[in-house]
Amino acid sequence: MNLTSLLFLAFAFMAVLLLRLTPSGVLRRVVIFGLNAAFLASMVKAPLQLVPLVGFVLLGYGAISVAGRARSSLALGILVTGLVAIFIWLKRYQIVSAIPTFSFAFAVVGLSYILFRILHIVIDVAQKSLPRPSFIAYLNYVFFFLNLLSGPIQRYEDFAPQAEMKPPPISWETVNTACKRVVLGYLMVVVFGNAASNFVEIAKPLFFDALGQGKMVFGIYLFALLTFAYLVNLFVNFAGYMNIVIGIGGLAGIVLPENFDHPFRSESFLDLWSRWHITLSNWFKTYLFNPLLRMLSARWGTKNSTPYLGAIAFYVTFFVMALWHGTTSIYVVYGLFLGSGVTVNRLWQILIPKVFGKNNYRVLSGQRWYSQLSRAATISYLAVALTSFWIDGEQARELGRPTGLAILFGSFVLMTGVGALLGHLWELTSPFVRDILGWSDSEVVNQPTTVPVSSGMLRAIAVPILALTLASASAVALFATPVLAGRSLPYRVVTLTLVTVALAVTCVAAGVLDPSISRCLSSLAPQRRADAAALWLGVRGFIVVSLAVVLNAAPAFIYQAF
Amino acid sequence: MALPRFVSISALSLLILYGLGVIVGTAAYRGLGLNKQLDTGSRASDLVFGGLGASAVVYNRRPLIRNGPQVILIGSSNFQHYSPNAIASEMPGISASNMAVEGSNFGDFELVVNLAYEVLPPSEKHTFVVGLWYGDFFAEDGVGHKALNSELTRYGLYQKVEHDRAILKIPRSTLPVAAAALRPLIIIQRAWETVTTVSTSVAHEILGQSQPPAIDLAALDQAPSPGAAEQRALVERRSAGGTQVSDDVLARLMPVAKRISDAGDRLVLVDLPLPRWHTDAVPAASDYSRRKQTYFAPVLRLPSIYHVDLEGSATDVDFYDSVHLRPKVCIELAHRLARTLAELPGPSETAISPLKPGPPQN
Repeated sequence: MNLTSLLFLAFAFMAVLLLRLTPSGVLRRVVIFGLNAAFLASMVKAPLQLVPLVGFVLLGYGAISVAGRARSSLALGILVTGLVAIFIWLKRYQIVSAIPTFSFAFAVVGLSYILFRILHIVIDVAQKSLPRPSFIAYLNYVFFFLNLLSGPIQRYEDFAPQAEMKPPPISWETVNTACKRVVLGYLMVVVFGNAASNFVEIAKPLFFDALGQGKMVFGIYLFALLTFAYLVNLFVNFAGYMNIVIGIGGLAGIVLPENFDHPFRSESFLDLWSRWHITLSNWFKTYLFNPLLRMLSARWGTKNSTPYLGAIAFYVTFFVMALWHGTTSIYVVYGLFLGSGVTVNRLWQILIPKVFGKNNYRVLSGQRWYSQLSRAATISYLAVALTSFWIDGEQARELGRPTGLAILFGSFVLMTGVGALLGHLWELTSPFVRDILGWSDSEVVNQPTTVPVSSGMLRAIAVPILALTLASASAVALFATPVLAGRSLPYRVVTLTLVTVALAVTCVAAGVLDPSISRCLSSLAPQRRADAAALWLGVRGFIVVSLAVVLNAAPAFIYQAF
Repeated sequence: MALPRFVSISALSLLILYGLGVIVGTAAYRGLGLNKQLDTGSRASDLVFGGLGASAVVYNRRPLIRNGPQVILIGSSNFQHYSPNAIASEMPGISASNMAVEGSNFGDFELVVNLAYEVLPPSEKHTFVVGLWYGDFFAEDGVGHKALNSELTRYGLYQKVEHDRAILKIPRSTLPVAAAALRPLIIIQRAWETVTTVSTSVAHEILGQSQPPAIDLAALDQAPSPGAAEQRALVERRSAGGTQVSDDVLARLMPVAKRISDAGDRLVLVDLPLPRWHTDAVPAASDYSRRKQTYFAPVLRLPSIYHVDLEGSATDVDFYDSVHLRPKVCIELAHRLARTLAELPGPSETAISPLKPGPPQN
């Protein structure tokens, strides 16, 4: 079941109703079990394909039982190593490719995240910080359909009470917020994800052609565009997916943890990992970084050495985290990038204050240009590091040659420079943009309506729409000449209109005009705040559902009745 | 009370918007005359359903549901501008449609014939005119095949089971209603495709890969014919598609012909013209000429199956590329084709085939 399909939406709708209506206790556990089983079954063609995955989860429960009785850390070490080894074998990592597996095709859907959930319970049960969960509670946690495929990695103690107890009554504000989140998620995955992915597909062969021909400057330009497009592609898909599952969770009364917190605002590579894939970072911090640092400190720790031991622990943690992402040797390169990134960042934080003095460092950190440069460098470094995700071994070898490495470095410098400049421009213009769009951090629709309808209000709505329309029309007229040149005037007018309307509609669906529109609707009918919000949600819902239907597989279930 | 009211208003506003979309879509559809004629080569069809024609063939078959005998043109892009109006003007009392899909091959034609039969009134006798050239008989599926498959299954109306078969999942009688209900989505789809085309073009520009400008239909009449260098490049590109046509695809002629013949309708296979410099240089063109009689002969022995040869009906300057005739020449040839069709015996009558079209009457 594809998460952006209407079939999943229908499934989620049914799940929300069931989870809202089912009382606390056994029946609720059974309902969650049934939903998980149905979701898992939709991922495979035959039940046999799930046998290895289910077997792994059962082994996990066995490990938890043993961990509950184990008294030595050696036993825990053996259990964890055993589970990780089986995981590596089932995922067919390159290093174990010679070892045979099952003779039939089997599914490892969600296995990477299942491993984290199981290890978390095994370790916490062994350390007596978590009681052993019941078998069905364990299965419900490990296989929970909303975070099975790509997280977020929720802690058992946060999930279990929500899976056990009927949630409190839901308000229209919660429905509004959750639905908006789902709408935004769909838009991110279906529209922006598609666009970024198309760009990557077009740019990739062009880049390797340029690399093959040794075109250094053009190669730098292409590689910068390509790596940034891939980063955007990854972000909109992953964060969009999170918006969908967290939104549906909110409707169902199951609060899932956030996985992203404005990662493009990160001011350092270490800061990035508290904003990007947060639950994964937290897991590694709890179960690898902290124990490793404790162990290193116990053996070599002194007042002076501890910060450097932290840098080593960071390196190891991020190297392992990178290896988890993929099964081929190219992820070793990704690991080296991530490990080096955090270590250099940590060493910078340790050494620069020593060299320049703490006060000078504080002053430097407070400088706008420094802040913009740090942000741009952080994002550019991540974009370059992610190259491992979209190249194969042969292409990696090409990139590893002197020309390729020069292009890699040149692109990083280019992206950092352009990024810092754009960041600075945004900082200068954002107050004005925020003002005319009526953006604020709080949810406008949920605030008491005091703003009267005024010419200022109308301007606030009209100006962005007009600006958007003109900007998109000009952009198309300026850049899309190959598509439009030679076409008749009516054709050009229709194309421009379609593109402009489509862009405006996308912005509406993305919620760009939400604050202004909501404020305007609310002020038109102050006593009908909820109605106005409902109306606007319907508009955004219409756009996104239509796009999801058009761009995804057919909702065949609608016609099954015939 | 607040929550049920909130959910109801949201759902209602979504449904009202969709309803408005259906009304606006239907008004646009009628305003552009799409309810009267299915012509994948028309500007109106291009505007609403896209230039390939696959979407129009699947979602705009309402014009086929009418009384009286009909002529249905089927082919790929080089048959799209054979105007059904030109055909109808030469054949009083007969209505005509063009269901040609760009980038489709003969296997797809079979599917299009089946789609036409889903809505054509069985009480009438119809004529299917299939425009052919060697490119229709390559084994590889083209963009038209992919577009047809995607359109059939996009909204769940069909389940694709085989190359030439798609099972309709709703009762046939509800097909026009379903197509009307899907209009808002079809318009959104069209807008999305336009945005994709434009953004892809912009992306190519940004990436330093200039593309040749698209040419409007009207301008194609004035566009220069390919020069020697362009001819060489085009021949090279055409030759890269393979040196032989596929026996498997040629063999599909028989089931299509039988299907039409058994229904008591008429099938006219038309060999379309190509530039001389193209047919002389591309091996697959010679291969098709050499082998087609082997496959055509048994087909032409079936009742009401004819072969019309339009090869040589156009000169090299009539083409604006390696395959496509200028639109005005297509209209001329459509008139000639219609006059030839008018001379043929009606469906289920015996006739001598193949036939040559009459002389040009400019």
